[in-house]
Parts: sequence; structure tokens; C-alpha cells
Amino acid sequence: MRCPNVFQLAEYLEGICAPRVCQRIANHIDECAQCQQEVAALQQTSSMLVVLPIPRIPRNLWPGVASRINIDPRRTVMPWLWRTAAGVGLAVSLFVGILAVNQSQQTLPYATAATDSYMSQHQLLSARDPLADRASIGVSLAADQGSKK
Amino acid sequence: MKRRIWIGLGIALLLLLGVGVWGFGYVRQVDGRSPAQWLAYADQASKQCAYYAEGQSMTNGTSTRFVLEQGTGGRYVMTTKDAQGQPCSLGYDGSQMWYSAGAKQGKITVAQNSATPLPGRAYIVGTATAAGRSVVMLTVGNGNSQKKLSIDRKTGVVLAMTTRVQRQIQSEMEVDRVDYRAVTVTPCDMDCATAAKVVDRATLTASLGGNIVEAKWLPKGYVLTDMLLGPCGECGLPMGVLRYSDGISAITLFEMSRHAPMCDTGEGCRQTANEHALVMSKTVGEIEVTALGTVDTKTFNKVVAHLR
Repeated sequence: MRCPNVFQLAEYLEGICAPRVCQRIANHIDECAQCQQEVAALQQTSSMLVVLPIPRIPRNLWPGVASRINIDPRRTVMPWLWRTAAGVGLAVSLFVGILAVNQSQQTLPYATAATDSYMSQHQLLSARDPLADRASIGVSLAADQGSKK
Repeated sequence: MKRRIWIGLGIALLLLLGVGVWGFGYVRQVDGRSPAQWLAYADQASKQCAYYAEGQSMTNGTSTRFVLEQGTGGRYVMTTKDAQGQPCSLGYDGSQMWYSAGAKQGKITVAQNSATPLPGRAYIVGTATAAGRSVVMLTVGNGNSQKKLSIDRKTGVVLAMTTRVQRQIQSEMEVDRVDYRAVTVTPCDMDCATAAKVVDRATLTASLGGNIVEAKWLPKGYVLTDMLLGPCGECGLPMGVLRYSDGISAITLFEMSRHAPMCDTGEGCRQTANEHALVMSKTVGEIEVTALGTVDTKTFNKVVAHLR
């Protein structure tokens, strides 16, 4: 195996590389003095970083960044008023949508009277079609007669 | 990475195989005929072939025997019985469609050169035997309705048929005895005052007292097959009939003057919901139109919304 680069060694030390890759790197380090030195140096750097104090983020960092990218820092967080207005707007839209759908269905109502005569003519015209199930049409016409009685 | 490539290739291969199997039925031929040619053959047989047939029919849970006497020119007389054993006759004598069920009768004069189209898409399922005859099985459909047909390979006569609406079996018909022989169908002499007759647009408009209402939007494959004028079966006033079909399903428009008085039955001629079809009434200009369709609700509503 060729010597792994510094990124692969760092992943190996963090234990985030694939198990098979980790195993190959470990076998290589056992045999390679140069890589052993690299590993030792990386470990030393890591131990030094651990003991360093965590820097505190200054309070005025974000307004400075925002001004550089032309964003008004006052608008980055939506005030509660805007959230409420958006919620109410969405609810009203849904309500109007449901009303519109209901209205469109109501404008084309199913009528409610007797239909035997029309159904018979519809079936009779269909009985001439080459792929019509004439037996089914005959039975349906006879059944309509039965229901009319 | 390589594993993903192999999985992708496998899925693509399976999809290709599925599309191939699906498409095979559309290009497959039996006896040198494609699915569309088989449909045309069945259409031709329904107009030219003469035979006597007996069989069993199942419609909406009602099973009955039927006898069919099919003559040339598409003439036929079919006799069935309802659940109570009452006979029902259905026939076509070359110019008139008629039926008789107990005291109820109906007759319509239809155009001899039928304009009913054949379904655009058909699929060969395979071959089998029906009524002792070798048949080719086809499936035709328009999305909502589907028919499975068994067509006699020698004559083109449909010997079995299963109709599904929204994947539910609506009716089944199977011939169990067929005898190819000369059959004579006598003209219908039934006296029926409400018989509708073929007319043109101008005659229909003049009779109804207003511009007739037509479907300005139709599903793919649908054409106007009939334009008739006859008296309303309930009130006797002039009523126009326009029928649209794609060879599988149909929509019929019944039109009257909106000034016509209501029928004796109250709401009378102005319609209803029915277990077999969708029905809807609408007033357009001077015409009150009632649409009746054996199609799915979405299609029906769209057709009704585009009545002008």
C-alpha cells in the first residue's frame, strides 16, 4: 500500500474511515516509519488543540456580517405579527378554496326524477354498437321494467 | 459505487422487460391479424355473419339465458328473461332498434351507416376455446371501462365478453352453442308512438325552438354517432337525442325547449341518478338538456361543463 495522505491519516485517527480502510492504514503504519512520524505529529497537534480555550463569539459579529452582504439585520427574524398574518392568510385561502370546490359541484347538481325512458333509449342506441353486450342490455331493459312495476 | 451501477442497470433491465411484455400484446399478431384488425374483423362479422346462438349472461348479479338470431346486415333478435322470468326481446331490423319487455316497449329509427367508432387501443391476450370454437382473446378499454372479448378465429363473431367498469365486473356473456346458418330477421311491426327518427341539425333546431346544445369537449375517441328527434316518452313534446360514443362507452343528450311544461310525474322529464349511469340536467339558452352517460364521473362532469 502507498503511504496514505494526511487527510486519510486524520480520518484514521478520528476513527471515521471505513473499517476495511482503517485496517489497511493500521497495517501500513505498523511497517512504515515515515507514517508513524506523521501520526505522532497529528496526535500531538490534536492534543494541543484540545487544551486551547474556546473563543467567544462577539455580540456584534452578525450585524457586521449582515451589513457586508446587504441584509437588513432587523428583517432576518420574522416578528410574531408576520407569522400570525401568514397563518391567518393560509387558513382563509383554504376556506375559500373549499367553498369554491363545493360551489362548483353545486352548480352542476344531480337531478332527482325518474329516468327509465331516457335510460331505455340510451341502452337501445348502445345495443347497435359492434362491441355491445346485447345480452346485458336486454337484461337491463327487462330489469328496468321489473323495477317500474 | 459499482454496486449502485449494477443495481441501476438491473432496475433498467426489469423496466425494459416489463415495457416489452406490455407492448408485446399491442404488436402481437394471431393468424396474421393485429389487435386492431381483429376488432375490424369482429365489426365486419357483426354486420355480415348470420348465425344462431345460445348462451348465458350475468348482469349486475342477475344470471339469465339468452337466444340470439343474427341475420345479415347486422339484423338480429335477442331474447332474454329478467329475474322474474319475464321475457325481453331486443332487436334491429336494419333501420330500427326496438325492445319489448312486458308492457314496456321502445323503438328508435337509426342511421343505417352506423358511425360508431371502434376502440383505438386493443391488446391480444392469447387464444382459447369457447363454444367449441377456437377464439382469440382481446382486451379493449378507454380507462374507465374495459372489455375482454373472445372472437371466433374463423368467423370473427364475438363468442364471449366480460365488461369491467372501474375494474369491477359489470357483465359477462358467454355463448355455449353457436350454429352458423342462414337466419331471417323480419322487420319490426311494433306500433310505438314515441319512436325517434334521424334528423339533421337544422330540423332539430327548428323543432326544439332554439339552438341545439352540443358537447364542445369530448374524451379522446368519442364521436357524434346519432342525432334523432322524437316525442318525449312522458309528455309527448318534441325531444332531441344526441349520442356520442367511442365504441365502448357512450353519452346521450336529451334536449327539450326550456319552456316545455313539466311532465305529470312532477320533475318528470328532467332527470335523476341511476345505478347504471350518471344523469345531469342543465339549461343552456332556450334548451334544457339532460345528459346521461355510462362513463366515469370526472369525464361526465367535464362533458356537461362544456355543453354549449
